[in-house]
Parts: sequence; C-alpha cells; structure tokens
Amino acid sequence: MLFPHKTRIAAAVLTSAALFPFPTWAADTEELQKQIESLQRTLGELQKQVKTLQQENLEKATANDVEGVRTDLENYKYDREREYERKNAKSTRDTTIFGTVQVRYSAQNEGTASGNPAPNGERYGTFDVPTAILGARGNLYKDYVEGRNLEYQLSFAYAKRGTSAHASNSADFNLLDAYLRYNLLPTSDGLEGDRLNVTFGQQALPFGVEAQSTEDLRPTINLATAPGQLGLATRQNGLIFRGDFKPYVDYAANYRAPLIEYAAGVVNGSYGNKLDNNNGKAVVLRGAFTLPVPYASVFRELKFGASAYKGSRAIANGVGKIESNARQDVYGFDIYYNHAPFGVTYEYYLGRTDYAKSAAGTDTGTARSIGHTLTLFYTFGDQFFNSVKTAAKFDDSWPQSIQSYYRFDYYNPNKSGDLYNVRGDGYDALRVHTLGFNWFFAETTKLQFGVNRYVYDHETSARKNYTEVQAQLQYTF
Amino acid sequence: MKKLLHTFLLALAAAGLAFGGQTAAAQENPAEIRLGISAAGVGGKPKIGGSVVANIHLRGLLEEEFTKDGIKIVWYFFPGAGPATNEAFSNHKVDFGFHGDLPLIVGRSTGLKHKILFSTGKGGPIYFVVPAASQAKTLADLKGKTLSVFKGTNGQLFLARLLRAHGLIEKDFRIISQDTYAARTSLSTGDIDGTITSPWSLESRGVAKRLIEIHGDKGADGKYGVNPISSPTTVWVGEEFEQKYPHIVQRLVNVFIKAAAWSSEEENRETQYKLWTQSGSAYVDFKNDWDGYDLKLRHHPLLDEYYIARTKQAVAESLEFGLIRNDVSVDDWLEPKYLNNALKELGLENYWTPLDKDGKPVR
Repeated sequence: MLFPHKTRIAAAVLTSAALFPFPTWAADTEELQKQIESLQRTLGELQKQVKTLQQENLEKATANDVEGVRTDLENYKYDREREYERKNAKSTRDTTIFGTVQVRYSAQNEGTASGNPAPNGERYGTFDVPTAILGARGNLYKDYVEGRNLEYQLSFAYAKRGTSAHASNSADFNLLDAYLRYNLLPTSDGLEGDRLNVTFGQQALPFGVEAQSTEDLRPTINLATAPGQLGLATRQNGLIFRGDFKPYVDYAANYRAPLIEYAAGVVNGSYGNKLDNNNGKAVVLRGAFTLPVPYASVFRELKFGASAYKGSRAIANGVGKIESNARQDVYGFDIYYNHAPFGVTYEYYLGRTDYAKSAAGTDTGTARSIGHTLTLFYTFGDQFFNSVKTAAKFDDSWPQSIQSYYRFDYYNPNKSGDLYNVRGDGYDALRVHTLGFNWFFAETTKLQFGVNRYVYDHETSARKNYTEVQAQLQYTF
Repeated sequence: MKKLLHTFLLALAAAGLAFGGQTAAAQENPAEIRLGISAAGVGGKPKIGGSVVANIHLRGLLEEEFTKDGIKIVWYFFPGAGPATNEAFSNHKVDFGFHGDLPLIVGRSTGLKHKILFSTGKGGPIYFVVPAASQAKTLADLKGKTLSVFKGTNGQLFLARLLRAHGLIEKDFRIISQDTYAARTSLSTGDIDGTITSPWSLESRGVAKRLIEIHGDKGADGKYGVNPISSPTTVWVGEEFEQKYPHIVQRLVNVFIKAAAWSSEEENRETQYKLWTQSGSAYVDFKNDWDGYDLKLRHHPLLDEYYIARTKQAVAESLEFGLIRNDVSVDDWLEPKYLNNALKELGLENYWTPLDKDGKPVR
C-alpha cells in the first residue's frame, strides 16, 4: 500500500478544510457527529442481535448434530435387529413362558419307607423336588375392541415314576393344563362388566377354594387332605363355563367384588392324563356370593361358596368290573375372608363314592367322606397390597412379607360301614394341625416353613401319629 | 466390691434413664413419614413433574427438614394413581396423600378418614386427543366410538364434564378403562378413538392430534370458573397421624407452602421445567402446558371459596354421574389451621390472592 490508512484520512480532512470555509465546516461537524452517534446506536443494536443469534444458534441443532443422532439411531436399529435375529426366542403368537419349582427338605419323628425304592430302609428325612412346572400361555386371537380374546395354556409338571419304577431313577413330565379359553363377554370394559368364559381341555376343577388355586398360589406346603383324596385337586379334561355378574365396584381402590360367581361344566371324571373309563360324564357346578361392600369395609372379600361334583366311574371288586356307572359325588361349602393383613378360609367336603362291598360279591356300597379345612392367616408386610407392590421403583425392591398361618385339616374317608378295600366307621380318619409361615423375600420367591402334626383317630403300630417339619423354597418365573 | 456394685447400679440407672429418654423421644416423632403420590413418571419411574409435590421430592426438601431428627421420608409413587393411594391408605400404608378430586371424594365416601390440608394447584390445560387419522371434528362425531379413561381417577370426572358440556353422556360412547400409558399406546395404534391426555409427544410422533383444548379452569364455553373441566388437586393427612403428630404435620405443611411460594416465582419457571424432565416427560411438554400461565395460580395452595365450591361441585357431580353412593360433606373435611399457620410463619399471608367461588380474585 502506497499510503497507510491514517495518512489517507488526515489528507482527506486537510483537503476538506482547504476546500470549505470554517462556518460550513463547523455545521458539517455537527451533522457528522449526529451521523456517528446514529451509526453507533445502529452498531450497538446489531451487536445485540448478533449476540442473540449466536445464543440461539447454540441452542439449535446443527446439521452435524442431526447427522450424529441419525448415526446413533441407525446403530441402535442395527443392534436391535441383530439381537432380535440371533438372540431372541420367537413364537408365532403372543407367548409367556412360565414355571414353578419347589425344592424341599422334610423330616419326621417316625420313620417311613413310603415311596422308597426296594431294597429300602426307613427314612426320617429327605430332600425332594415335589413340583417343577414349565409352561407357556398367551393368546391365539386378540380382540382389541372388546377383549373377547382366545387364550391358551400348555404346561407340564415333573413327577416321579410310580413305585415300581423308582429304581430306574426316571421321571415323567406329565401334562398339567392344556386348554383353550374364549371370553364370551367383553373383558376390556373396565371393572363394571360381567364376565363369562368357556375353557375347553385339561384344566383345574372349579370346586371350593383350594382345589382351584394353582400350585404357585397355595399358601401351605401340603395340599389339604380332602380335596386331594377326593380327586378334586387333579386336572380333568372337559368343557367348563366360568363367569360372574353384578360386580360391586369401588373405584376408591379399584376394588371389584362380583355379587355372584358361577361355574358349570362337564368333564370325563377320570383325571386328566387318562382316558375315560366309562361313558358317564361328571358335572361340576359352583356358585359363590361376595358381600357388596366398599374396599374400606371390614367385610371386604367375604365370600360364601357352594360346589358340587356329580360323577360316575367304573368300579371293580377283587375279580373284575362290577359296575360301569357307580357314584362319585362330592359336595362342598366354603367361606373365604381375606382382609389383609388377616384372613380366614374354611372348606367343608362331603363325598359319596361307591365301592364294591366285598372282594367277590357284586353288591356295592357308598363311602361317606367328610372333610373340614380351616386356615387362619396373618401377614406381616405389604405383599398383598397392590398399591405398595406396584409402586414405582428403580431397583428390584419388593415388599418383604411374612405370612404366618395355622391350619386344621380333618378328613374321614368313610363314615359308613366297611367296604372292599375301604375301612369304614372312621377308621382312617386323620387330623392334621399345621403351623407355618411363608417368607416372601423376592417378587416371585418364597421360603415356606411348616410343622405338621398328624393324628390318626385309630393309631396302630404300623400307623403312628407323627410330627413332620418341612422347609421349602418356591420360585416362579 | 460394694463400690463396684454401686457403680454398676448407677450405670444401670443411667442406662435406664437414657433408654427411657429415647422411648419418650420416639413417642414424639414418627419413625417415618409415608407419602402416597397418585402418579408416577413415564414407564413407572418413581419421579413426577408438573407440581409442587414434584419440586419438593426432586429438591429433597422433606428429607432436608426431617432427616436431621431421624425421621425417614418414604415416597410411594403409584402408577395405579388415586385408587392405589386410597388402597394404601385403607391399609395404613401411607400417612399423607396427593390426590385429584374424584379419588379423594370416592375414598371419603367409602369411609376413609383424612383431613384436607391444602391445595397443590388449580387450573391446568385439558386436551382431548384423537388418533392422527381421525375424521372427527367434534366430540359428537365420535358417538358410538370407543373412548378410554382411567376409571376412579380425576380423569373420569374431566371426561364426564367434557361430555356434558357438549350435550353428551358416557352412554353415547363405549367407555373402557385403561391407565395413562395403556391409553396412549392404544391411541397411537388406533385401538381407541379418543382420550384425555397430554398430546405433545404423541403429536411429535405424528400418531395423534388434539380435538379439544381447554386452558385454565375454564368451561367448555371458554368462560373462566364457570363449570370448569379441570379441578384443584389436594394434599391430605390421615386423621390418626394428624391427631398423634400435629407438630410434624405443621412442619410438613410449612415445607410445602414454602416450596409453593418458590414454585410460584417467575424466576424459577425454567428451573422447574428442567427439574420435571426427570419424570421422563420432555421439557417441551411442560413448556407447552405451563408457558403463559400465572405460576401463582397454578401452584395456588389456598383452601379458598373457589376450592370449596369446586370440591362441593365435584361431590355433586360424582353423585350425579353415579360415581359415589354416599354424599360427602366438604365443610368438616377441611383442616386449614396448618395452612394458615404456615402462611403466617412464612410471612406469606398476602402472597396468594384468594379466589371467590367463581374463580375471581377477591382483592
């Protein structure tokens, strides 16, 4: 550059001064001063705008930012697809895999050889896996509008082979529930709607309280004697309708108490994993009434139920079959009261089952069976409160609870006279007192402990009263 | 030996006194204060946004106040909303509750014994949202279609009021009960035809749109305070706890009212929005729902004529819509002394302007 910037400005000023007389110059200076001030204000405004724009630009996503997010998103999609392709179990329909396992140690003060493979000695204690169930459930058709869904369940339960095969160390995996269930009434209309479904296939019987409860929900380690002995706790093949109507709904706590619950169905009457042994079918009926009171009432979940199972079966004497359609009926009455933290259940069973009267004769007689089961609960902890159980949480915390209980269980297999292979007059009557607790220490895992005192009405040298201690861990998934 | 025995007895007596002293102290204060919050964050997070309650929880204000005395603060955030809070209170699992109007009223009508301490806010926006492909222009166009509501929550009353304002009733539709997140999923898949919910994240995904939008405590006709759709929210204390630990109730109310004043300050608006994002909802959701609102009104704690009138109206509506079976008396339900003490102690007596029964400021 020939002249520096400042020199050029000085030259311009001097030239201006030479060309214009002083007064004009003074007036122009004032004008220039105004222009400079105006320009300074404009500059200030522009600087503010630039600053604001810079600040806004800092908060706006740039093209680079968007590209970065896009890349991350693509990576995520790729990763998901790869995981789905290579590491996810797949099913044609909606499926939930589930299972229940119980591992147990039990000890008793009288020795027993029951179930021991030959040759054997008496045992006083044993480890055992009494239950191992694996299954799947889901829906085959989902009705998004009304919830008239078609559902299924298929599950299997481990069982030891019969006594004769014990030495082989083999086990069976028996079918335990295999059914389709269709909801005839809508299920998506909230708590106020009536319910009705029909279940076709192998399923639990709608009888009483305990027989209907699944393995994972039973509170005591051992099943009550009467439903076990009368065959009510065994799955059966058939068609059963279950429903309720007139539910009392308390929206204060989203509590639903159907005024009437009912079930009616037909089953083979020969247990689930056998073919029917005659042409007669068994009819099962149940009705239950729940008090229509609010959740806050002391009488909430107070339910009275009655059940009937009217079946037939083929029976034999010591020689062979003597009757194809002999009676096998059970009637029951139950009270269920669950007002956490305490609860009471009581069940009464009356069985009428035909047997041969003698080893060689063709006459039949009826065994009259009686059962009572009373269970008292008290729970310390929040396991049974939906609100606390489902409260929002980050970790895997779960309300730890201890459910203590006492059960009195009585079963008299035959109050009538002696029949073939069935002693009468209450000879085999049994009372079981159980004191125990369930410690729920994780969402689906509990430690169960129980002391059972078995008292026979007629104690013999081969059948002595005894005390049993059981400790069991049960988990479901 | 005698001296040793004497020393031992003295030590025993001292230990006894100390133990006795501890017992007496333990009787004065509860071991814990359990709060049942009828909401949870997105996906069941134990954090919420959009209220003074959220601010207190997220800023740890109750812990700051009480842990120095060895009192543990237990927060229960219930995805099961108001009915879950009622269930927990019925079973003595919570001492304080945060409720919308319907579950509060239904709980009271079935015999729950609690006292209303203060309100946590008045007048928020209500959006009736439909699937993006919906052809409906008005609520009447959805007659016979499926609407979703979380029954037992205050949303059920919002919907009933909204329908009534448009000359409709629940029976004009097929109403199903879903929780908030199930309803939002159903909306995006088109399995329901409308619900009251926050529209923002659904709209940004292009799966839903607003059919009706009402701001403030306005009715469907746009008039403020006249048959409004939304309603005040409430904090209550269980009667048993209140009778046993009145000084703790007072301290807790003081914390809430101080926080309500902080929350009402314009300078804390942005801070609150950012805090609330911990619930899982987006910043822009809160901005859309709160910008332009007077924070003092949204966080208004007073049990003024407006609160009482709105609660009485909600009781009447609950009876009218068949949501409760027994009437509820509002007048003997309020316990304003803790609120009044807090306002006095904190010098906030004139901070919030009371509203008359129609929602107009009274001074």
